[in-house]
Amino acid sequence: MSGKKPPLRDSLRFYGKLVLILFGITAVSALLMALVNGLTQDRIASLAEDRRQAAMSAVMPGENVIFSQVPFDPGTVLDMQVAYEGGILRGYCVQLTADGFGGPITLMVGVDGGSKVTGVKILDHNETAGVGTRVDNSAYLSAYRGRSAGSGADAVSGATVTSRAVERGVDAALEAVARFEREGGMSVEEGEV
Amino acid sequence: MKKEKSKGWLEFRQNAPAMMKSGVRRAGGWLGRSFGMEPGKVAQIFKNGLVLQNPTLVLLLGMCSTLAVTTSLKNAVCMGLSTTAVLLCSNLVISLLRHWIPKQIRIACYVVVVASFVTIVDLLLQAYLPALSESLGIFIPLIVVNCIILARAEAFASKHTPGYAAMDGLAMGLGFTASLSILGVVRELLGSGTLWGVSVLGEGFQPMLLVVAPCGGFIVLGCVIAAAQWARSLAERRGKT
Repeated sequence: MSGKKPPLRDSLRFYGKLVLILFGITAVSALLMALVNGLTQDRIASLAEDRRQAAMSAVMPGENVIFSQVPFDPGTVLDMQVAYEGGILRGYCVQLTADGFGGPITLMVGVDGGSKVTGVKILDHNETAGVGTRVDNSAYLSAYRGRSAGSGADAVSGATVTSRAVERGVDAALEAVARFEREGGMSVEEGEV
Repeated sequence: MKKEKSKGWLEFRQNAPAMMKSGVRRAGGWLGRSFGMEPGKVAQIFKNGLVLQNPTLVLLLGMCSTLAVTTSLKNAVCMGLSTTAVLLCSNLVISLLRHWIPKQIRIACYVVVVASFVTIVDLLLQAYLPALSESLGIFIPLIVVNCIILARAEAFASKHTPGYAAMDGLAMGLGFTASLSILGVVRELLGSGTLWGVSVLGEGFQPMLLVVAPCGGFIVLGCVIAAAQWARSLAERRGKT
């Protein structure tokens, strides 16, 4: 390529204009998105909370059950709540993930005071349609009820990886509850780990 | 003592009505030029978007989302309508900005505009239509990289007035929705025996799971494209005789 290079001032002005325009478009977009986010975030948060409450009520049977959060180890478990009904400890609801065939499966496991499972619900998964998704079936999951840690579980035929993931998740939930009770259970104050 | 108004203010007050009138006139002229449309051209745009240059069946754009969401008719239609909304808005905005976006950074600017609209649509869906947002899942954010939107921004919106650009966005979006619906009907009917969630083929029907899987979706897509091409060649032959 022949010809003199253009003076630095022109290059700066040229690139400066590009930068300014791109910045302007990005700034206006960011403002718009912040606006819509501000308008919708409360509603989105309350919808997510409703979904979680519904899942907890589904795995912990009983009328008028009150949940409250207890300290948990965020490395292993997403959330742990204790369930009271009329002042009596009914059990715990543990939300956690287990690695399935197509990624993490989010589970909600209900555990009663005697470390037995009261219910399992799958909240989110990425399993193969028609194969792994057959695990997300109330008939299969209800077989987990009354199960304690370490006892085997049947797998759905053809969906071994997914079934084993659910089993691992349930075991991890039972372990989290057992650890919580070993460390003092409900006598631990909120905020202590 | 009364304060004397400055000379500049008096001049402004004198010229203000005339300035406003000419400003309104110029704005009106701009609006007319930007949004004025000939019905003939609009009809051609819609014919293109819906049939002649249908984004899925002729231009073969946006295949990933097409295969992923057409497992059920409801998902297909809702995804199509969401994409149409984003396409309409982004075509409009990019066309309005077309004289100010330098060609060296045009793709970056288009992507920023499209991503913003998709984020807004995603947030609105999550807040007001949560069940739909959950079943469409990750494919709403993936509208950003749906080739249809970038392709129309580059090929049409950056070169036409906002009125025509908006019409093109609408037409292409509706064409996309129509082709998604056709695929959705076939895949849901054959793959689950239902239509919009309602069981249609009865208990005795053994669903073809292959059709719901991506490979089966590809095969169904190929068949529908072949049918569309055959219809086109028939129309051309009839047009010639």
